[in-house]
Amino acid sequence: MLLDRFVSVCISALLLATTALAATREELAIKAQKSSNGIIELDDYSFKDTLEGPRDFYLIALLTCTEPGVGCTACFEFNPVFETIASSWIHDHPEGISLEDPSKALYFAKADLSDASAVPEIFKFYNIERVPRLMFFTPGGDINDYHLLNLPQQKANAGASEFIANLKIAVGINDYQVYEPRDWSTVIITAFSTFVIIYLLRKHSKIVTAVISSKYVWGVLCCAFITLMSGGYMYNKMRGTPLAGTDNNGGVVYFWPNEFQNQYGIESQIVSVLYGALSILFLALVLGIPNLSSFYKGSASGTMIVTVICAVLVVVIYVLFAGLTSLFGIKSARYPFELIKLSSLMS
Amino acid sequence: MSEVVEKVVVPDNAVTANEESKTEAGKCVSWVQSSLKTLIFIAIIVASISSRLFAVIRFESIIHEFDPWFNYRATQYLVNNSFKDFLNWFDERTWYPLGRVTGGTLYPGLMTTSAFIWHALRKIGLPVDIRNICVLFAPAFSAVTAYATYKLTCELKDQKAGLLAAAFIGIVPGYISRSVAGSYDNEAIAITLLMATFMFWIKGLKQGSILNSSFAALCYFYMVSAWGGYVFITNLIPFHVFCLILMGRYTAKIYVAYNTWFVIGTIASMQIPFVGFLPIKSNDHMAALGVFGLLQIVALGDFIKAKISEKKFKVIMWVSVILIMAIGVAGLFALTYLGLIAPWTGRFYSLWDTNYARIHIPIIASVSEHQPITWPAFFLDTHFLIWLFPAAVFLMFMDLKDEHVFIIVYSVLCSYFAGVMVRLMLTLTPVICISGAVALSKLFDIYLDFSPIFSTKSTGTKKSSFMTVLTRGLVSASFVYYLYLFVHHCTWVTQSAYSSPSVVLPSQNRDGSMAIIDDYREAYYWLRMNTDYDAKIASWWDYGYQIGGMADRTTLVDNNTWNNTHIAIVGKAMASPEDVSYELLKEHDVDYVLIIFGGVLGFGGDDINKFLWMIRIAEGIWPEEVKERDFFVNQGEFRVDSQASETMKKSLMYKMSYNGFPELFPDGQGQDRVRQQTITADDVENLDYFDEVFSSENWLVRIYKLKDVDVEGRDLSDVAEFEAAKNSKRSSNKRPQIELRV
Repeated sequence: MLLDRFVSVCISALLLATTALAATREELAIKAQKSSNGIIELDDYSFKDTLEGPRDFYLIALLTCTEPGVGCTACFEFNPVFETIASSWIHDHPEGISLEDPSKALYFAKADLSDASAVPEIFKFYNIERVPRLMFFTPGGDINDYHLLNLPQQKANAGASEFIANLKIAVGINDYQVYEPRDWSTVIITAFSTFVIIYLLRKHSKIVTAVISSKYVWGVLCCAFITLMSGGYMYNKMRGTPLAGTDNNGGVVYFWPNEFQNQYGIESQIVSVLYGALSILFLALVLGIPNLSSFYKGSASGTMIVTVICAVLVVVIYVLFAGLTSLFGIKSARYPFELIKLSSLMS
Repeated sequence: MSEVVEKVVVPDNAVTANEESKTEAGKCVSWVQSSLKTLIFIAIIVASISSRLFAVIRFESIIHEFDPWFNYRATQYLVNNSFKDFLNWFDERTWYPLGRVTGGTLYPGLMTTSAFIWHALRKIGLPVDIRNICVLFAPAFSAVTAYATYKLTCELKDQKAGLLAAAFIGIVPGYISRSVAGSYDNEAIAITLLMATFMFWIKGLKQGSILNSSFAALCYFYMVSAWGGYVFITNLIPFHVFCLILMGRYTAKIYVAYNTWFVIGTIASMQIPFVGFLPIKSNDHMAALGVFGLLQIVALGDFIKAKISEKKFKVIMWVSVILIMAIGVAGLFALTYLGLIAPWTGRFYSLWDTNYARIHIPIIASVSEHQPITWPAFFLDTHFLIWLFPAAVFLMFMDLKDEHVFIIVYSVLCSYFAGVMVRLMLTLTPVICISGAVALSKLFDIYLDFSPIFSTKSTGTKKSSFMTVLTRGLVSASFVYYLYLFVHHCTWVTQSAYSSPSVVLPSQNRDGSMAIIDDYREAYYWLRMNTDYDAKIASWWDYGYQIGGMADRTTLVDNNTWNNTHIAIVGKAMASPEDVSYELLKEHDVDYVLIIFGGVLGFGGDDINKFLWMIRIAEGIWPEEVKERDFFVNQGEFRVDSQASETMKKSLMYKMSYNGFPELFPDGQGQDRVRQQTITADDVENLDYFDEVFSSENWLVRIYKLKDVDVEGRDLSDVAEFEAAKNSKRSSNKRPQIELRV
């Protein structure tokens, strides 16, 4: 009896010892299933257990920092991607074990520095100075046996697919598919707006037809579109350019100097606004002024007002055009023309 | 220059003359008017031709860039052989060993036109060299474009706007960029035909005239024979008609004009061998076909509507609309599924889904012409017209006749396309000029009228009429000043940005005087004189046409990128280690490898900078053997110095580019002027399988010969090792020191 108990204690002690040494697939699977997206949380108490070798599975650990004060854009961008990657795996493999090849298992873990006052132990353990870090633990290694992975170059779901494609090769598994998380908010918004539109259509069909068949509405829409396009909007959209840049002293740069093939996002916004303003002023000259003068026809003060407005319009157009030209001068340093010599104004 | 300014301003003086003629009705005035118009036109023609001659005056009468070299070579072939031979031309000296069915895969419009001019000139006793005809082709046709634009704008507003538009299109950089002397490319004639087609289309539509619509169809046919961009017309005109139908503007005139244009134009366009049955197969052309069908239905509906009551008509309409839609969509799917109609081409997809090309077809994405456009490029190409453009489109909405709808549709569609693809800026420029001219001439109609000061009958006092004239003077003066600035801008852009042949590079000596870097022609001439006539040259496809045209040697790949796999072979050869490349190149009978290296000169468009695309294209075919990632260092950077990745250093391209480069510098620290990195002798491994046979004056072009297979059957790397061991000291580089240019 005593012996029996002794043996059982011994066995459980042994078991404990082995679990202290290395985490098993079952434990990790339980932990992974506990979290909503299949990512194991690496807290101060358990991270050594999770990462300690010798292991018989692959493990990818993300060390990231979502504390807003730190302002790590890459972390914010990669976080949902990582969640997609992990949940896609757990979705098909609740145990974390490949169905095709049961010898291969894969788990995801994460440690997040979400509170600057309490840096997680694991950051100290690995002397992390830069986030995000993606650590790849392969079977057989111990806690210090890992290599760093590059973040996918593309963003959002494209990034997840890219990463998974690479991961499939690295781990040697094939049954790994991307499950894009369904974004219910867009569904709801679409449903709601469809409802509103149909409601408006039925209720105020006269107004709606008047708006749809109004040439002014179409005119403004078309002109806005053209202005947007000629401001280089498509370039920003296709290249994903940053909104603005910084110079060597950390100041904000709005216009990328001397770069003809590159632009910041804010450049097209500024330029589009300039184009729009110039167009509107021009239209005021062509459409507005004749109407105004026929309104004031015959009165002397009216002629005066028209003259003044005209002069103001001309001057504002000149100034805006001068501004546009000097902006172009920033992009192309050799450009020889300027409408206003800024230096001569200063002196 | 002042002449040009005068020309832009003069039309407005003609405006006042025009008004007066109504009241006085003097023959004298109308005579002055027409002679002024002629004079203005002559000035416009002189200005548009002369501003395109910068390249010829600065450099020489030479064909530019890449594609023009092929067109030139094809034209030569056409002049030396019959037209029938030309259409059946099989060129075995390109795409070795496949060859290219050149006659069936080119747009013959350009070559036939210049051959026609050549023959015509010979008939009247002016034997002009075909090269000069090719060089001056584009400037000459720009004058025709100005006239067609004038006619088109006349249809939109009046002759005043027409003259302005002609002046704009004559000198606007957006069009000059593809039509300077020497830029002998399809676009040179295509824009002329584009304007002519649109002009006839608008005329035909306005009058419901079969004659004008037939002319539009003929111009369209000519356009199809000259440029692949004809698809733009194929879609724009149906879209215009579609919009008109949606706006409830269907008339019999539209029916006549569209059917005439579509039937004649489509049948005619199918006569071009390269186009063949595409107009009824490819989805690019489906819009035209669909609108053709729709128009028949609308015409039928119109007819029925006149015969029966409105209530019955509504029922008929709904039933038929639903039926037609269902059949149409199902039919389209079925035909595409059965493979009877081709899916949309890759270039077309890349216009809509802007990421499509980058992911699926690197060969399209790699072409710099297919990149999205930045705002400075818009401004550079059109100056103040770019902000006049939206205002002008809005003014079109104020008038909103059928022809204005056309310009609106054109503007909106094309501004999107130009934003996605730099190359389509060319098709946007004409509409910017036209609408800018219309807007400006509206402004001048109001403000360039100084009659109040002369009329004593005016209702106001002397003072108020003076004020009116003052405002008008102010507004006119400021816009005339913008016109003046526009002329200067255009001239500056033309001479500084668009007048380089890119075969010969302009540069400056230390003292600021102009120097000409002529490495390309030096190298091509070396090939022509020193290699066997049947030698095969491997180079990246960009230089294929030039090698064919200038060196007259057989190439593996060229700018007609019809075979992606073949291009990937060259890409793989460049990206692989020497032994793999040697094997691959030997399999393709290659004798010489030609690369462009800008490190000495600081020329950014060299092969190392294009290397990533070679890797990507090769990776598309052999993902196992070539991996883009291996060429980057850990931080995801693309380096060429001592930190460069091992794969990079082992690649043939790297070795060939930097072979002997560090030794060029006194301290052995090679400074790459393009990538601003230092290359030392330790970074560059020896070439075992290739011999350097030629490097041009500034090392821009380097040519390597494949070593012969070893007579003793050894591997060439073993031979090199053996030789190195034999005469253990390395032979020093005997290259003479050359003066490096800034």
